[in-house]
Amino acid sequence: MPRYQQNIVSVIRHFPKFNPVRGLIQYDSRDVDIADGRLHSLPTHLGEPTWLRGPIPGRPLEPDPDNTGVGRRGVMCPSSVDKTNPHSDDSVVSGDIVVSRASLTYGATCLFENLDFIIESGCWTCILGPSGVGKTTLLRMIAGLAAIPAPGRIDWSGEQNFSQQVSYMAQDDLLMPWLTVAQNIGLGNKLRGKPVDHSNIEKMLGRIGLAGFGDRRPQSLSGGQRQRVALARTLMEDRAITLMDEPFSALDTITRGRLQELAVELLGGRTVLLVTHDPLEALRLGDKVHVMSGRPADISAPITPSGPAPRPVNDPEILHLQGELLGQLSAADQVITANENRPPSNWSNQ
Amino acid sequence: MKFFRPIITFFGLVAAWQFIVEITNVQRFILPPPIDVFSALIDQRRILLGHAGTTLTEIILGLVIATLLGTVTALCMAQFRQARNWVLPVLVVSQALPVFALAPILVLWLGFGMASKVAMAVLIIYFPVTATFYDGLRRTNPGWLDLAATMNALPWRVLLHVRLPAALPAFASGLRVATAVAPIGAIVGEWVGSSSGLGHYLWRMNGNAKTAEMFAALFVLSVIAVTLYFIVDDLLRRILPWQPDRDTPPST
Repeated sequence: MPRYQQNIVSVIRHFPKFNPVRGLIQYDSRDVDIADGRLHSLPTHLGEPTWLRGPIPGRPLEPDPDNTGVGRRGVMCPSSVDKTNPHSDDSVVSGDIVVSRASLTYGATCLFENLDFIIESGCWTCILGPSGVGKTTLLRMIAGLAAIPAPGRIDWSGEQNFSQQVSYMAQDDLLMPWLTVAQNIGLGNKLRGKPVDHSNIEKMLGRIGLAGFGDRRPQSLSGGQRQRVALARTLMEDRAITLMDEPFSALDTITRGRLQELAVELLGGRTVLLVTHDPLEALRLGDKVHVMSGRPADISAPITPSGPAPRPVNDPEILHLQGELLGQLSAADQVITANENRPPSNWSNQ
Repeated sequence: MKFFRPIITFFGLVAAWQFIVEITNVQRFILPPPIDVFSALIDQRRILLGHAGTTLTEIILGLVIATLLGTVTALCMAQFRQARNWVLPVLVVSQALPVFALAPILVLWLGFGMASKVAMAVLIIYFPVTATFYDGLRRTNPGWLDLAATMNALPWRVLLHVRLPAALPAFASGLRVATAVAPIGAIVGEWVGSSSGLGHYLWRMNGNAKTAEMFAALFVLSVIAVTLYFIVDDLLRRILPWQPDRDTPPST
């Protein structure tokens, strides 16, 4: 990853809300625009950064201690290291994914533009947003399934090839009906022309609670069981990053809850990006919950629910945050549908 | 009951036929009564069986060759964009040209023997097999392809392990159609020029105004066609047990 990218990451990381730092930051004798904690124009050339070495003349880079909305993120992800020094250059943890200047336009509609976003290593990052906001496409861009228009880019600070560290789970379980459950779980190696690890598949079947189901065909399983198999197939890939696009949304509430718990148990320690439209799911599972809303869409500063995932659904904090998020989503929906003559919902007026 | 239904239908039709002959009092060489056809069937059974063997061989050879050719063509078209642009017009033309017009040319080129008839059958079967299989290969669930892409799958492995099995139901439809139309090619070829086969027999009997014998030959041909169709249909069902099928009760 280019050096300048890392420094940008540092700024966004350490000043997630950045309210007092509206304006410009000098970078290598050039002015870099920072507003709302997001860099809107990136330096186009590499160079040794100057602005992280010391205070920038006339502008406080150090967060204002009296302003509660500013500072390092309050809650650390379970596996991320403690980054106490905001001025250190090595704050990008190997494995972070940095999306910069991503844009998406459908015809004349600009869904998002110059979107910057970080997925932290070892964290569950959730993007919550109304349908049609472009969150699935953003995930597909990260997964390498959708092209990211220039000058947008996705950088990964990990050592291996990014595309070989991504696994993908969709709303549809995508099980192949002509393969048995075991063959579906071992699909990845088969498609790569590598030997299939049968003993590992057996173990995986046990871990998802479907031991003895290996020879069944997917059609004979229930929706929840099928999504478990999809989860096992994802785990068999053994990759650092899992991208999940509403993987549980087609399931009934009880099954969904069980699957969420299983996913947390089995994917623990991996970098997960979960795209969902369910605030409760995001709050149960996410270490960082972002709301993606508006047109063009923006990604909010993260909400960081406390406690380890999966969080209990009756936790007062979770319930409170859920109400808040529903309000935000509803407000965003009204913006988008303002021209569609749809009656606004009154979630936020409760 | 399921087994008897076609038999009842068959005898119903025969009865209607007899009835029409009775009330119209039509000449025997125009519409022979069923009993004449039946006796022709019995009298000529050895000759008919010999001709049927020729025709059946041609049909099966045609089916096998055309299916192999069609499968390879469809796979090439699915995998290489260039191949598609080159082959597709030829494919359409192969179906648009009337077989009857091509038959004399093929007989001229390939002789009076079996080769020209097999070629005819291939020509007729090739299009439905290729077109449906190619269609199936193109319509793979995009989600599966996405999944394969994130798994860093090798392209030809995706073709072999995802797109091909996903296209099999479409391929099966094509093969069913092909099986049903396959006899046309063989019969037309035999009619135009050959020394054996049901088509040849029909042509000879037609020249002699032996209509009852023609009906007997057509009956044998129908039996061949129906039997072949059900064998292929059954085979395909066995190969594709995952395909949703209303005729078979869902497995639980």
